[in-house]
Amino acid sequence: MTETKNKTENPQQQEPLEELHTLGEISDAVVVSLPVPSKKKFRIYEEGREYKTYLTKKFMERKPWTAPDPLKVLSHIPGSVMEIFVKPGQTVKKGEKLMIYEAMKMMNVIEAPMDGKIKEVNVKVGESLPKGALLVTFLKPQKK
Amino acid sequence: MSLLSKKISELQERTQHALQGGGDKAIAKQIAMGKLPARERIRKLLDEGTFYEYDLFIQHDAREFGMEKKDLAGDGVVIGTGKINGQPVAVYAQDFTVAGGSLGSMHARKITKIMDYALKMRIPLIGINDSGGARIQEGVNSLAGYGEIFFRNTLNSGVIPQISVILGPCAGGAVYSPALTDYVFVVDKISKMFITGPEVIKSVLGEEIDMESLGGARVHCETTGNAHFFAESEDECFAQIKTLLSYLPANNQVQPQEQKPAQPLKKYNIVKTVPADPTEPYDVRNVIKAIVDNSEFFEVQELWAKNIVVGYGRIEGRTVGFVANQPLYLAGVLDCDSSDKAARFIRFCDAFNIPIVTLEDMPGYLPGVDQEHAGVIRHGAKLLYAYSEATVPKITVILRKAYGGGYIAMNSRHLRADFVFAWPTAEIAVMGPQGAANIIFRKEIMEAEDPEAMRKQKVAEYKEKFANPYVAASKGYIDSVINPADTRKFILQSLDISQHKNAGMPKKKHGIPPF
Repeated sequence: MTETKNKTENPQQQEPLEELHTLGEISDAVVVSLPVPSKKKFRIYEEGREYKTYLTKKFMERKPWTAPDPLKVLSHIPGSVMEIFVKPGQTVKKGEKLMIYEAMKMMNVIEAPMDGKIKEVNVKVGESLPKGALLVTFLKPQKK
Repeated sequence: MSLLSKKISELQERTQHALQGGGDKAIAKQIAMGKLPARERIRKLLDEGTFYEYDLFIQHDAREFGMEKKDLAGDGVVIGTGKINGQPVAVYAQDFTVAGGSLGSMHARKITKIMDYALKMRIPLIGINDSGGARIQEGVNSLAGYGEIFFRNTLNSGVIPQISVILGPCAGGAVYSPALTDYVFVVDKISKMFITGPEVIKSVLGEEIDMESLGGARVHCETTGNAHFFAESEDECFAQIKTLLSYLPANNQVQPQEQKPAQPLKKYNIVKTVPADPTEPYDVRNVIKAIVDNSEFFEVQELWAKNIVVGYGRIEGRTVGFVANQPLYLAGVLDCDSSDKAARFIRFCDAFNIPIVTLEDMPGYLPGVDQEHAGVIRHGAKLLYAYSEATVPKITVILRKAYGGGYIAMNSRHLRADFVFAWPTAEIAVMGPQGAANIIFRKEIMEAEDPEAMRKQKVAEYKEKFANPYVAASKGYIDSVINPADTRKFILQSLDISQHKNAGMPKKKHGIPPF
């Protein structure tokens, strides 16, 4: 269900901003949602025009993007830790074995994604983990 | 000066002027951005001295916003024909130095002209994209231009190979031409592709992301799967295109050019590559290299969905497409991305008469809420569809694990594989021994005095009985259990036998794959 109508005045005067949840703002475009998010309604003001629309469940539940942390080694698949080869404080080379991680009937080798020093091993042998679990944390490299 | 030499000198002057593109300053800026000028790119991509340019003197026809006073050389795009590896190709390259390579109606008409040539001549089409997008001053005429290009991309699809090279920005609607073509090449730090840029994303959703993380070369090769080949430089990219074309036919009516047959290199030993223990990972690419001529394997989408490997090699000089589960990543499971990747590759091979060899070693589909909610049912179905639909010679070799739905999907006999071979290490069953024993012998295990010992015994029993290739062989689902060392021999013989394969599909307008 979409409805479009022209608006010339500043949209902020129509719906007081303090009652609305502002998601973002740029130049003359203001993006706001209605005060009751459960109704999943959304108003978008852009270049003096207003669109009214419903939001989908998938859109409401989406996870905002965050930059991946290169210092964190995450599991790519659900599985369990079989063997750990590194300790905190240990220096490793890129490609060195960090651990054996069993998943889908396979003894997967987790390798170091970079040269560096291990800050923390975040799992124990025998632990069952979901996808995206933190396995190993690297120490932030010192600037030379 | 005779009249003729006057006319010739006028031609030379006009040519000189048009070849200057956006002028020295704009060209210097292009080079400062680490990019080559459009004609230089074409010169480097094609065989030396083979390029002939058309429509050099095209003028744009915009009459609004002061555009009528502007002279845009060639209207910002270079088109022509030439040769790569001695084979004819059609090519266009957007010239960023002329009005930012923006697409107006004449610019688009040049591109569609060379696309029509390519189709009529049945030769591959290569498009080099480097454009700021639609030429706003030309309004809807610019959109019409994009539409005409997309329509032709679709028309040409499956008739001639279409290659897109992203050597600059390619944003908004413009991305859909590459997306409709068969292979997309990108170069680190130069290629940028997205529908909406970082600014719009920030304004609408409040998410902050830089252009490289949003739509840079690496992202499209590793995360989105929109690009197929990653290069560090434009030169490397051109070399990749030449290699790819060496494996492909000019069109869907001919076979790929044959090369001189050669043996695989001795250092790739197929028997030593694959551990007999099914839980030990290995790099399946080394198995492919032990099979193909000169051990040369040209991998497609190497960085995306690494749990399946697809690409080209040759056997006795003839191009073969390989699809192989990769135990080195995610245990080689099938999931949304790997199914999409393999399905598209299979359809390309089938459209262009390239036999498909499938190397199978996978435990099944990846379990997980994220996979189910991402639609692994629909995505996985694409793989079944692509294999079933393909009528080129289809050969499957089961190396180790072939379980459940994955066994069916990986070009099984049931999807009309022409030849199915299994190594003695193959395990072909409805599910793995652990899971199967737990279900079949649930009662026995529960009621036993020592349930754990009973479970182990039953797992061993199941393994002994079913985790092998001989049950499937006893039903004729596989043709031969073979010595791994003979794999190349068996594949070669199968390819020889199936040279005149003639298997059709029922007459239809087109199928409806689960897109």
